[in-house]
Amino acid sequence: MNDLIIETTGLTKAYKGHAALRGLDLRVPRGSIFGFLGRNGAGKTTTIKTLMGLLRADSGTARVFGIPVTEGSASLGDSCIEVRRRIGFVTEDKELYPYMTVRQILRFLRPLFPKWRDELERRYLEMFELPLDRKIPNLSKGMRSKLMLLLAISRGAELLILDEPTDGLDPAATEDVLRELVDIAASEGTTMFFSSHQLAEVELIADHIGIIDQGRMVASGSLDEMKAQYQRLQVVFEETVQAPARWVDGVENVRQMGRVISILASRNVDAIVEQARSLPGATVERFPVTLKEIFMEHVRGN
Amino acid sequence: MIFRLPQSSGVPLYLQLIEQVKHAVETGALREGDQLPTIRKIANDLVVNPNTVARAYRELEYEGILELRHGTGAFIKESAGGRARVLRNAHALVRGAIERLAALELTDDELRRVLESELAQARAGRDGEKVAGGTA
Amino acid sequence: MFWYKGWLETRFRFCFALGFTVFFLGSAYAYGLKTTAALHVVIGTATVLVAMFCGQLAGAGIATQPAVQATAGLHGSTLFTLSLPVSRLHLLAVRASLGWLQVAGGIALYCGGMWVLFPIVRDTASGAEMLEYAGVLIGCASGLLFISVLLATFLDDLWRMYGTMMAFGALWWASKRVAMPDSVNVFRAMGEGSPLVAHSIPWAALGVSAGLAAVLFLVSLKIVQQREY
Repeated sequence: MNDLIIETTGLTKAYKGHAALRGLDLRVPRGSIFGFLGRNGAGKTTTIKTLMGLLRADSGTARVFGIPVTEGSASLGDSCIEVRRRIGFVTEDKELYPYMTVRQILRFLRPLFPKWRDELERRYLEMFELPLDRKIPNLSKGMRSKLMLLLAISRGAELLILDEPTDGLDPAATEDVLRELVDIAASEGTTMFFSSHQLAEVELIADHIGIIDQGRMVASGSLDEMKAQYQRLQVVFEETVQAPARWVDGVENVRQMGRVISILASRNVDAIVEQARSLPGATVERFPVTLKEIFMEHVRGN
Repeated sequence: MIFRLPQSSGVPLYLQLIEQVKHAVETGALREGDQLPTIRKIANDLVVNPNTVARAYRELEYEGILELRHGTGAFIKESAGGRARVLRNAHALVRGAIERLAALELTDDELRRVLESELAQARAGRDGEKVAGGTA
Repeated sequence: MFWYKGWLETRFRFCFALGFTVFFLGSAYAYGLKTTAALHVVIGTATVLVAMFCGQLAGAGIATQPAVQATAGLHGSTLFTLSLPVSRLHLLAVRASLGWLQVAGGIALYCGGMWVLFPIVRDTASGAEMLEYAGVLIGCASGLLFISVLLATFLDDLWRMYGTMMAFGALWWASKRVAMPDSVNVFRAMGEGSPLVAHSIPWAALGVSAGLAAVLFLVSLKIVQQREY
């Protein structure tokens, strides 16, 4: 029994003229809400397309539900039809067929998914107040996002892949969307893999995160563990000193302002505190680190 | 009990939830036998990850504050009340100390930093003794 | 279900194609079709209509929106379509078949209308010949339709339509200039070689058209299966 819903190792992909993925290792545990973070162009959408079997990887492997999605059939995408049947997908631009109404797109999609859940469809139609006979281009962006979410959830998916599900939504619509994601995770145990630029919302609803930068995973794991490992240490000296040139393993970043040294530690905090305390006249304080600080530390200056 | 929205800070959310429950027990807002909302309800109200809530509940159970009854929900354990009394005594001690410190006219933040710093020193001292004891 | 999607996608275009045919039949009826050159009008119009139908009604079932709606790096609804649990063969085959049926429907309406409305057409050709003519037009249109299907694998709707018209014109011009046996000339099969004029079925040209359609379909399929959208 494999407890990873998504697993990639050393995935590389040159796409549209540049190296979009450069050895991506991604592990999404079953039942997790996985926040996939990165700057624009870091390789998030390329990763998602590869997972759905829409792109051919240059090297490395990718498995979704344990099924390989990067090899096998000569025809792109045909090897993982079964995988796509079990995934609910919300695209980044939330574009759907402009010639269909809400009722028509439901009628079109329902037969494609044998596990379609009528009761979920009814519930979300009502909750999101989606007008059945309105044409998709006449829906607001918030409504289109909600419709896409409804289409993803109602198909009885085991995995939701959400490319910036709250992008461009007002705070109320964002709250609605996030609340339903959390509710589905609680009631159905659905695994969610979502990319977002809203670090504050990721911090609330994700339990695992992965930070991708220039096609590589630069940090990933349980958010709680990451927060436990990452700490900021503030070392105050009685008089200005020369900071040590060599720090113990785990120091990510050191900044000095006069008698104060600020250290960002990613692991090994106790040993670092020990080293700091051994400096003459030093008082050491520890502070928790926000997700935003962790994120900025990994993508800045690259 | 009504949970407050956790802050997006460096402190893991589950720890913030645990603190809220402990605080409610200490102040008497939660009493022995009181029932807490379901994981799904809390996740939904606060829009936080259900696994986070579940983890907070598990830790609280491990610490002997909550009792998780399968299918029926989470209840404040009877023994938690005793602990609450101990803590109320501690409150009285700290209150006395603060009153005596009033003469120094410290701000709340200064006081908090002094307390935290002393706690850290005390913890380091304990750890040091442990290490020393281990090598002796 | 992709039939349903394809139908919703194309129904207005199909209705427009039928409407145009009716409009043409109506104006021909109003002006009267009395000259001895009636058959030339029938044949000439048929060729133009086939070109229009092929340009308008074909599709590959993947990208449908004009590129203006899909900004750089995004693909409109294409990504959503590709994320559905079906093979690309299925997407292409359903959409191409639907286009073919609609082209056939347009041709049937045209031939039927000509036959019903104009006594002079009934005098020159028998009912069976008109039926054969409709069949030949559909057969000849198949090869041309799949040029449009092929273009649809990498062009959006608008450019595919222009592209098909241009390809059609270029082939028509080439069919006049390049030396080839009359029997395999698909354009001739829709005109002088057709059952209306030659009173026989141009099997060789139909074979050429079917072969072309099959080859173009396979090429389109290969493209669709290889392409990273």
